[in-house]
Amino acid sequence: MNVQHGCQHQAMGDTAAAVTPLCVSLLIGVPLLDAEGERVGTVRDIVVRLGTSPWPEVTGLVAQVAGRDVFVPYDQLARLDAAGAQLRELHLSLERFVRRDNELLLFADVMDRQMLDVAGRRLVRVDDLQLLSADGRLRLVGIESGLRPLLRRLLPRVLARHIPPGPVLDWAEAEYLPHQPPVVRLQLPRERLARLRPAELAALLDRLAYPQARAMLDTLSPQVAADALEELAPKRQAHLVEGLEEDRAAAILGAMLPESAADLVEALDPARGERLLQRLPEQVSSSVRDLLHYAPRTAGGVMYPKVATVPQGTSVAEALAALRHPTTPRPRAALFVTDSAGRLVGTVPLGLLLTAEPTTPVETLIDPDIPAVRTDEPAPRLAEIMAESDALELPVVDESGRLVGAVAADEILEVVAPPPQRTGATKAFAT
Amino acid sequence: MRRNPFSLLPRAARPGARPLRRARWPAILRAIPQGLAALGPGLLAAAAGNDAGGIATAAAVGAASGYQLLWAYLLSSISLLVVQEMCARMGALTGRGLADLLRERFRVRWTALAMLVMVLANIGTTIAELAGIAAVSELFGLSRWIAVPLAACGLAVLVLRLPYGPAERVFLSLAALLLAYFAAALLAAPDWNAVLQGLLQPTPPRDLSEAALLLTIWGSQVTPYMHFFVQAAVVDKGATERELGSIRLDATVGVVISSAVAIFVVIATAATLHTAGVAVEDAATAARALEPLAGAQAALLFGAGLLGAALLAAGVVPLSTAYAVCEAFGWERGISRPLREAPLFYGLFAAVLGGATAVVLWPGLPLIRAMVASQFLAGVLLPPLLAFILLLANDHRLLGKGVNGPLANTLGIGTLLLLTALEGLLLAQSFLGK
Repeated sequence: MNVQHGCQHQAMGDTAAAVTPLCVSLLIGVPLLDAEGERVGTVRDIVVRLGTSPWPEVTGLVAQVAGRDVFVPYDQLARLDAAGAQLRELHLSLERFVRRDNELLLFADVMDRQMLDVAGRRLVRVDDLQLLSADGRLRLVGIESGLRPLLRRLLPRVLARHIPPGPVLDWAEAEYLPHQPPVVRLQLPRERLARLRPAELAALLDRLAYPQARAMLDTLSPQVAADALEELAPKRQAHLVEGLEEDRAAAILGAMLPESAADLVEALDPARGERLLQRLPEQVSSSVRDLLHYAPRTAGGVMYPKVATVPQGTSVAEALAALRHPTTPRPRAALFVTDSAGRLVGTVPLGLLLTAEPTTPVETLIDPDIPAVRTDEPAPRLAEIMAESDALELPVVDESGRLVGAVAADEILEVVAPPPQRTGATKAFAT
Repeated sequence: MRRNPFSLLPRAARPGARPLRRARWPAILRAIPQGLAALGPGLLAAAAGNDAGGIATAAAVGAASGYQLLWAYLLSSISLLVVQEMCARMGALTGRGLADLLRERFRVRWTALAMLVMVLANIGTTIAELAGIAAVSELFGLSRWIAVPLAACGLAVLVLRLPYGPAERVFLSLAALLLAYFAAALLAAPDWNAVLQGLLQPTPPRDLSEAALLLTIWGSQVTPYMHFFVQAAVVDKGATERELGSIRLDATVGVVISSAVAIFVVIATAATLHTAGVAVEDAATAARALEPLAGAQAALLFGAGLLGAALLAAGVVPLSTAYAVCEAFGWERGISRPLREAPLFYGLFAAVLGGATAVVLWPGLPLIRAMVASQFLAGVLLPPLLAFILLLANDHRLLGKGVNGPLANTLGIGTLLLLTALEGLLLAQSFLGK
């Protein structure tokens, strides 16, 4: 979190170029003065344009003049501070203010709402905003939250003016969350979010109200969205995906791992899940459909279908080469040996494989204590089997003994030791 | 090397393997737990809303004015239903808490006012719950100086540091003993004609104390914290626009049950205490209304039920208070946070619970009267919160097509006008004198 320290409260400047931060809360409601200092209206809001700079530029004010809201361009102002906004000349367009795309109104759209502090991985309430003037442009630079800005907004203006700008969260470090449904179209850079680890992004998504979380999923690339969704509980995933456009939802579903996609489809409304599956490429949807046949909390329900296998008769060197091949699924803890019909012959722990002579045939490394499990074996039972056989990964086979997937210890841990859940009324106040 | 000839066979094919369990339930059976899980937030809010203060008020009203004010219970339960539905709907459509919405719509100053009102009302409610605990403890001869601090500390630990669910089930089961009032009311052979007349024939308040009594009844039924609670619980459940139907059903069932309990407490006390000309001054007299059912065990039944109702709300109300204030102002909150990360949250919790404990331990505090007075306070503080909720529930930008319909608005505004009129009457009378 990038924290800057605001300077002491500025003296009443008489130029528009303030050198110390201006607090937006002190600008809302100040008089709009003409060039002679006579009051012509009241400042209602401040308009910034989202552009290439991470610190949006103030383009002007919304002022109430003669009973209507008009736009006052920033370059028509001689000064802007807590004492008022003064016009440079006697000209002022009385055309009604209309909202435009890529423009934010600081009071209407940003103040008092929540934003994502990406670096701090939390939501912050915007209690006040700070503007800073640099090379003739006034820019939105920081978000102030806490007791100081709250006090500034609670107290009457004469006292509030004496509360100096405090430490801020850099605007460039925060993500703006638009109104839902949006008022105007906004192009928000989301690169910072895409750079987060999936689990971190998921934690942020989890803290957002679902309309906002949906809007955010909409702006992320399908792969980033899919990686993050996989970290959430299937029910929450379903809630978020249900509100998305079907094209978008299908794209995200297609980018997920088959086993995660199957969990999500299971949690969705059946008709909706079926429609989404139909939009996926045949190859992807069929592997998801295969998984859907298995009940949750069974080996079939928790397994992943893509596993690294080698045929009988392969040497250790060949097996290692095969594993290095980019299209081979990454092995977790074991390599599985199959016969020509795809039936399981045995399981070779990776540790044995790595330490064996290159010319050794892989069958000789098979650990006979690692059993195969059937797809309908209850998931909690798998934990016992793993403990009995000292295996970190178990092969899963169908009735004919064909290898259909594998289960690793981490999936089983989620089943047998789920994170502690609060129950009852206090659950609503947990996070 | 050890060789197990069966190790490569699938488990089920091995000799002696257990038959495989069928893991997939028929669709209809799987739907039942889902339905029960959906019946939650509103039901719980209503159960906790039917708190010690509410029970004491109902007993006092029944004993003092017989069946005459039953209509107020009927109308106030409609008010409760309308407001609970609004908040549950807002939670489901926005995914956000009431305090969050208040802050965004009404900004800092109005939110500060709303929070002040809510905190005052919730302190009153917490006082009522702790007074209920004190009343029960004294009913069984245990000094309130031991029972109340013990309960407050126990609840703090339970609510903040333990899973809470099991304790909640115990409290709920205890509070369910209050359903005994249904049987007690029937066994007391009330005059059903008078009951019906009282329910359906509103009588305008004849004097100040009756106007105050009406405010108290509304305050006891439409307890302010319930709205924050129900919305938070709906949000926590992750309900979305799709579950709106089940959320509404849940709110309705909760309100019907809790209001029915209150109405039957009034009938039971009216049939026994009012006809005998006894006023409810302490828990022992209130318990006498259960005598037609439980005989000598009436005090035990009443005490356990009241204790359950009090415990159910006493921990959750301070928690809900602290959470809403922190939500409104954007401070770190939630019981999963350590103390040093959320000092304001825990501070508020401690202040509400501790403050209420101090008030209840005030020497010579008349417990039943304190419980009723807290409901009066809630009634007085309700109109501003109701106005805020009504404005939010009519906000198109927030709820789109889910804004209030004409029925919800008529009933909501009607409640607001009625309460404001009663308050105006009380204010005018107290300033101008009789």
